[in-house]
Amino acid sequence: MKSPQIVLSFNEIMFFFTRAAVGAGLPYGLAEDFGRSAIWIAAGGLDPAAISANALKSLDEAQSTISASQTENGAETVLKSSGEKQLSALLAGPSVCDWISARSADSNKNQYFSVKNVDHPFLLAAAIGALNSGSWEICWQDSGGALCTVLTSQDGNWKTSWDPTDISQMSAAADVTIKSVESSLFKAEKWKGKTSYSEKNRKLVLETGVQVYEAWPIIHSFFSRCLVPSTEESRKSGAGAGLVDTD
Amino acid sequence: MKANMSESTQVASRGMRSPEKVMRLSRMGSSFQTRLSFMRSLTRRISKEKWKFEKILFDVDKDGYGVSVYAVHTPERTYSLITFTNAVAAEMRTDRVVAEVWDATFNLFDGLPTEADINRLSQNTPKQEAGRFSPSELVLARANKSLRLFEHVVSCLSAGKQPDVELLASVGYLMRTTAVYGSGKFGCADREKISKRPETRGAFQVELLTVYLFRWFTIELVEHVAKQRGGEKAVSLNAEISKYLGIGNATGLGMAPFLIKHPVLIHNWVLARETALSRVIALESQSPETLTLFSKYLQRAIQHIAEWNVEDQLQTARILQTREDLKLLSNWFADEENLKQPFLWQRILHFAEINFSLEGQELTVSLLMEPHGELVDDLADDMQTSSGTELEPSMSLTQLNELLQKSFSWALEIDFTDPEKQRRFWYYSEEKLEPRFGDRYADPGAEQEMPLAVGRDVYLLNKKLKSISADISVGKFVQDYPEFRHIVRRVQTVVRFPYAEIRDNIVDAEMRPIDLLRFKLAFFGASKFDPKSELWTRITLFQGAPLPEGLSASEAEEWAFPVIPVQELR
Repeated sequence: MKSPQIVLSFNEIMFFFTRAAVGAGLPYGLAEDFGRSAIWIAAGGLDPAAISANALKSLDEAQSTISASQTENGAETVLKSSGEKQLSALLAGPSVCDWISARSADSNKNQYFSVKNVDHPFLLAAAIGALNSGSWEICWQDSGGALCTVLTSQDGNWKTSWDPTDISQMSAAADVTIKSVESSLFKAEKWKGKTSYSEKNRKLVLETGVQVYEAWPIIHSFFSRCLVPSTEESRKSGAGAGLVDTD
Repeated sequence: MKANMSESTQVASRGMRSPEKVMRLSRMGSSFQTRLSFMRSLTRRISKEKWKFEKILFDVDKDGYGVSVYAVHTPERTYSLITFTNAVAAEMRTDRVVAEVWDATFNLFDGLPTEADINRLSQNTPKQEAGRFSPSELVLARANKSLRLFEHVVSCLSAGKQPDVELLASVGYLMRTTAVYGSGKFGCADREKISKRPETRGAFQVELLTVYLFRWFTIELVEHVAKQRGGEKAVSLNAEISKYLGIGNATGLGMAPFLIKHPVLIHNWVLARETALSRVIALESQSPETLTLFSKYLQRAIQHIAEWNVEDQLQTARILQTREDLKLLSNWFADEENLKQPFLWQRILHFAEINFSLEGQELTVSLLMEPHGELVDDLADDMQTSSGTELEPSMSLTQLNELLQKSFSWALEIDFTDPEKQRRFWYYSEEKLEPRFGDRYADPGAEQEMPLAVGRDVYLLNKKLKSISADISVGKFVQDYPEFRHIVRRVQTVVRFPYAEIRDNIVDAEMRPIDLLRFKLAFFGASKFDPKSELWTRITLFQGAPLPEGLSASEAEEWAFPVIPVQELR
């Protein structure tokens, strides 16, 4: 059994992952949302670095973009990249969350959201799970054509239609649809017996910490871009506390 | 109490001081501890719930080096202070975060540690930031000795004498912490783990419990070393002297970003204090008991301020002025005619606001709260939060613009085209992630600026809003301009929390980080602020607080404004 590279607290997840996203080129506000998504993943007992490192790389290497356009076509709201590149999940996730937050109690329950060609679909589910507002079904096809679905619920529990230990391997871009469980399109019976993540996992992780494996250096490398090299001058003029202790 | 007040005007209508007055750096940098400060509420709880203290392990050699475990048993749980002490070469001593060795390193452990836990921590705690910790550890900290006082106390006690109280008063502590880390730092337990426990739900309670236990340890340590040196000749510290010894603390820039990053929490702290003050000044009459108590605390504060001496010239001038302010207050209070009219407390505050310096005014606020524990102490329970900032994407840009004009006029009035208005920037150094305060036009790294310049970011948001159509939603705006997402989220949140925002420009060329530090440390309950520059200060924690064996109910109430022990000890 492999050992984790580091065991982190949720607070450290927020600190390192938010700044790693900034280091990869994301504006701070979106990076905060990414940090919250990473905590949601970690609270499920999963390695947030393994699942999200490629999304940061994709953004950093300009394979994906945070430039997008959003349109409404009847019951469908469509978000897509403004150009040819894949749409970064780090923009798409918060955009879906904003769409969810903007819905009112009397909004049409059959409205749904489509995101085209998003680079890391699971991170949309993570963003929606972290929002913790209502129950939503997030659905896409993986590179082999299999249907992948995540069900998030208001109580913090969530389910996947497949064994999520494979999530870090799911790197193919896909079109994703997000619909409310109150929609007439939602079929509850297909979720019976599926892998389930309970809010209890969060309490367990609080007692044990978050185990982060081989992708940690990637996160830390992006994080380090937010740091400023130290100089003798900055030590003298910009740092608090004394250089010597005499009291 | 927290989220229902949406506007400053509502605050004012309740007889509370306005955010425009309270949340200015100059006043924040004049703050004093109050009875709602976190150390005070901790000792009240310890006393009320009759926590039991126990020395579990004291495996320390004749020079004071070794490992010890001191436990406190609360009604539902036990917490343990595990301390490692070792020798430190003189050239390795520094208060800075970048230090690598310390006289004492310690953890607050959740429960009683096993031998395996102590062994694990012995490999990590002395390394501090270079070690790794687990959710069993609630706090990680370290401290250095005040060499001259520690050695003096050892010498005296070992020779059968009590230490020189004047020297003791000039330092105030045997050891001085240089960092106290909680809330998930370096793998320690997240705040979420303990935030629902009654004894730890309050702000910074585990961090301050750690310091309180460590203070107990330092007194036992100095007595142990003296006993080893002096044998049968050695004596213990006089109880009053022990009580007067606090724990020193050197606080630098690490605390400053916290205040910006937790606006709702800061609102709750200030709201509690201002609510307490408003309750007191709303009293039309006063009892003889509260009059007596006020008089007692006023006299003690006069002595406390008289004994507060620092090297910093600016702070010295402020202390001198505060002494004058207190003389005026004492004279005013001695005039019986002033005591006969209704709303005494309100008139005292009014007198202070007209006649006193900012430090004098804030000290008066603290004094006014002191005799009114029954009226205000419940507010200490509301000084925490789990709320962060939230975006409201359905809001129109027109509404957002209205919020800006209404609640951020302080920021919009600053001319950020003037380079001096954003000369400074905050950043993390790659050296131990130490927060630093740079000069944008002279130092490298401005492109890695921490997002703390709220006023400047509001100014830029306002400028952008003027350049685009107001006919779209906030959701659409932040999708098109994601660089504004964080400040929009902040604006939309803090307008519901009037005390959330520091109403000054924290990247101005003239900005003094020390004001932020003092504000936060006063809420902790610190006293004897001793600024060493505009970037850091020394303080004393728990000075005058009862030690564990003396923590009876009355003593828990009695330790505000500590003064040098009685004359016969000098």
